[in-house]
Amino acid sequence: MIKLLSANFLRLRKTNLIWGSLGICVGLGALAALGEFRFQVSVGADLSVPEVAQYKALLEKQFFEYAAFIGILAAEFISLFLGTEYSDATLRNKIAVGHSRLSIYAANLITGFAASLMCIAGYMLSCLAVGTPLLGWFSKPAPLLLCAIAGSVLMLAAFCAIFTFVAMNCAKKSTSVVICLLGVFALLLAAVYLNGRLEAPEFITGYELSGNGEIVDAVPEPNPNYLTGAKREVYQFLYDLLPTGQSLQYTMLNFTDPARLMGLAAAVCAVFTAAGAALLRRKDLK
Amino acid sequence: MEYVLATQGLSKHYRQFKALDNLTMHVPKGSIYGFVGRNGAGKTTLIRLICGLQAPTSGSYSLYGTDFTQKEIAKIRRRMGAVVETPSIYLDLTAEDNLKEQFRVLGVPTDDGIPELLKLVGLENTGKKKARNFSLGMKQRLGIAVALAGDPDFLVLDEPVNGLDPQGIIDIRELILKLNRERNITVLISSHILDELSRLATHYGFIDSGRIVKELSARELEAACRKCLRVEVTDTRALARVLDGMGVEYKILSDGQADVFAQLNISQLSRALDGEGCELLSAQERDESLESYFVNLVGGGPRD
Repeated sequence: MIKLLSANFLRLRKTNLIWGSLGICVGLGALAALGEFRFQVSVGADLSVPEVAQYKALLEKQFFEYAAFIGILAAEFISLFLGTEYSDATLRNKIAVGHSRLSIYAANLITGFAASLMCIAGYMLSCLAVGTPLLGWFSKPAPLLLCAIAGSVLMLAAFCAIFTFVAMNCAKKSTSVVICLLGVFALLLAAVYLNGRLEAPEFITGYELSGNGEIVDAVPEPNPNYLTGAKREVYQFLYDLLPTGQSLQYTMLNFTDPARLMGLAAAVCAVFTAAGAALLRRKDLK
Repeated sequence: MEYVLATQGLSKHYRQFKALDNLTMHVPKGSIYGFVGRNGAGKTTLIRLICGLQAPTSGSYSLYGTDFTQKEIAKIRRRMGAVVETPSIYLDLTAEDNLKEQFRVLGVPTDDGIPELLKLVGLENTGKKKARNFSLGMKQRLGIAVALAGDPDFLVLDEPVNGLDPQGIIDIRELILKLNRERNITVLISSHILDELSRLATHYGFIDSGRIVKELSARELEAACRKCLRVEVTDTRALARVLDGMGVEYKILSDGQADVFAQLNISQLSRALDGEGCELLSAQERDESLESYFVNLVGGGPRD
């Protein structure tokens, strides 16, 4: 497999796709920090006082933004990069000289993951480089930040496993690109919906007109959309299971059980990799 | 005889369709094996199977005596190079980068062999030009160079001259002959361009409807297609006596028919036969080509 990885990384270096994706991430990281700074200045925040930026946790807010879009970038990159193996028929060169399909699959998964990780690193470094002088350093506890970084890396592995599954079992590059991109947006919509349902308040406080004509708070009433019991648990499970659900949680730094998220991401990764490799093994290639 | 590839009752079915049906063939070491058949006869399917791209439905094949089910087959495949249908090259890489890529896949420790390989296939001056912008012939030659990257002993080429211009066909032919003669590479070459194949092949396998209908060497084929005089007589025993007397090579085909492999004076032959009480009914010169041999073998009718 080392030979295959070496070949994949050589091709990675030669393709504009990776440099384009990396450039986008570096640009977005810098823009996110700069945009936040300009916004704070426009609302009159005095960022020269370190405590202000730290209180608002401005750097964190921008630093973890990558979790929101890295899935889309990975979908585009992996489907195009691995789809070339089919469109240019170069997969044959690897199989015909005796490489097993399992090792080809694993090498491609690792390559896609490594490239996506490089993009995240590009975002992080540029965000830190531009953001630290403008927004100050992190204010949240280090273990929480490390948990979010480790968790988002596992989330990325889950994304890569799903897209590798599609790209390695779809004989047409254009089809795998469409499936991966539509799939990631569908998963994103599902995550937003689940988040909306889970974040619904338990009680709704309305307003009413008092006897003397004043508007006052009404007595809170139970929200019929509030999820309870097993239904809430199922929604929460799905929200935690979906890589896009995890991406929202890491972006907002709003997660309670990081071990559960990491475990579920690892499970998604394992299931899709096992299924994808098994399918490829049985596939008749042309 | 040592065989590089041997198949035994090999079958491949796609649902109800039998692409290969109990196919048995033998590719001798050092040969250029012409694999002849019509479109859809099963040539590419066989090549896909032996390259490990697909698994047979039943039957078996062996490469250098190693059965395809054995673990060692992966190592044996390292001695093989193949161009299946279209050349397998990265279109957004240069010729040199394509070879570097394949060298990595094979685990070749240095890139030193790349210039020689590019020169061998005549692509040494392509520089930074991407394979996407190559002509069909150049892509085909790059595909062969990629297949040769591992210094294989066995090269499998599926329709390598399809769509090439006359010069491209000549280039590929000369390259194959050079590889076979100078590097002793065994070549399995599938084609339905028979004239082209007849300039290369040392052995032939004729395939029809997924079965090998005939396997023979070029020498045997030459003998079968040899220029001869087909004579029809009333008594072939008398004919044999006369021809033996003349010291001429011949082959009795039936009670009244024989092929004579010599330039004969018909009047002389007729007089001699007359003396033996035998009549010469007809004499026809025959010169069979590979094409007519193939048509006779598989029939020229419409395909199923």
